[in-house]
Amino acid sequence: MKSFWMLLVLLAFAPQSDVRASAWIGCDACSNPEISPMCSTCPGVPQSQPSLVPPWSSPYLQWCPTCNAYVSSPNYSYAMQPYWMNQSQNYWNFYSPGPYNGYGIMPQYYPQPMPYYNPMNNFQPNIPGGNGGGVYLDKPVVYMTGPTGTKVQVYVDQGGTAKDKHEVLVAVPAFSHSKMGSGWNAVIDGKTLRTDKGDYEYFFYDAWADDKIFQDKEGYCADRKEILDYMSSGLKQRGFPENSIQDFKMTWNIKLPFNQNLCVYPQTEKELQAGVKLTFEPANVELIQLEFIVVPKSYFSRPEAKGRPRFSAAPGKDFVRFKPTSMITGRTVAGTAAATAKAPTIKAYDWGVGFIRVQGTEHENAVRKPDSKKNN
Amino acid sequence: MRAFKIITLVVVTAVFGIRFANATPEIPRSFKFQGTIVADSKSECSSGKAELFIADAQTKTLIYQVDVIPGGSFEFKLKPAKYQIRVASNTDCEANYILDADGKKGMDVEIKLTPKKLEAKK
Repeated sequence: MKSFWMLLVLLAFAPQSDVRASAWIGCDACSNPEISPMCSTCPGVPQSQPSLVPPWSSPYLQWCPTCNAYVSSPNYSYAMQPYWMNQSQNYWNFYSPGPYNGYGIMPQYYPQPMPYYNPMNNFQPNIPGGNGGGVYLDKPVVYMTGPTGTKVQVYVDQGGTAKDKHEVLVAVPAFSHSKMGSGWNAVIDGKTLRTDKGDYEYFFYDAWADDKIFQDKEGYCADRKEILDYMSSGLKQRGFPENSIQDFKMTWNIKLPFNQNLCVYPQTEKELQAGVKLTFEPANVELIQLEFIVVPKSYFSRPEAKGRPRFSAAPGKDFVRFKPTSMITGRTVAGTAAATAKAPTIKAYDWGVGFIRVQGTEHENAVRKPDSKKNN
Repeated sequence: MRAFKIITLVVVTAVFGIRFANATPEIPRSFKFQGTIVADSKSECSSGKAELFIADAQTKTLIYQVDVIPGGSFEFKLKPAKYQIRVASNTDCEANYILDADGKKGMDVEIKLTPKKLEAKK
């Protein structure tokens, strides 16, 4: 009985936690003794200044072994420059796939996934392994081809309940809703999708999905350039339209993390349909999906990587499914027997790149040395 | 012993009462931010394509970046916070918007693209 009263008293006076996520603080970081050495001019490299920008978020940095810091290298240029590159100065993480902390996407910037949501503590993920939980699917985009004038409806399983293993966070254009579900309506006109709210080259969504729907045994690890080539070659081998491959290259040439060795785990409709399920009307649409989960090799030495259900180690073997002989050719979803008997003339192609969600702050890894000499 | 129990009960009740009174109110998990990109039909802003950026207003951390079109729509699920929203088009038009949301209800907005203001000549 006494212990009950003692416990009650202890509980009443127990300290309350007030953990807030700190953020990248720019030049203020110089007050941090761990980072301050990078704030002084680098001896031996008179024309270069050490940078406070995290190395993985800038194409203009290179490792300087003599001064033990990343320094500016302003000679970087892109083959393709989208018009929105003029916004690069407005965001410290412009050259990153969102709020990236050197290992993955920081979950504190997004709504907590429902399975882990605690209404009294919205900012602390309560997930085994403390890893932030799941994967952030960045910019999956759906292109469609077929006879001009064909009306199509794409239904998107948005998820977002406590039972779901995924949740759609962004949709462009906004979803329309009917008894059949939520999604997009369009008329195919060559490469254009005509909707009642304008013409689109593709439909866009972002989503969170649980680790467990993905495969992590097959993939490839290399430097940034090789990974970009590997991914776009995969799209080509799976028959993605040339314009969609060009869009992919343009986006990820800018947004894939720099100065890191990366491992990529390709995912096809076999895995992806267990998360954000796409269905179509008419039913005889062939869906071809190829999304890539990218994890920096340095993540695997982090202690919390071991508690992760997937992506706790580099892929053990190559992803052979790119090869035409063993390629999955897509499938018809939600089809009737009559519809599926016909060869599909409408095709939907969905590419995307995902990153693991990892707790952390932007500046904690800023002083980290490169993974190896083979970086770009 | 009985007096000790009563005193303990009173103290513990008082402490719990204070803690509940000062407890952090429940924060909504997310809210839907949706809307349309609009522009004057006679201006160049009504054509072309645009990029929508959503950043944390304090840290300038870019959270979302999506392709949009004038006249087109969008929807986001955001956690309650203060955001800086910027739309920049390939026709030299722009829109800037501060979204300060407690997340208690969804928001449906029109973001108007206007021609970029020219910097004053020196």
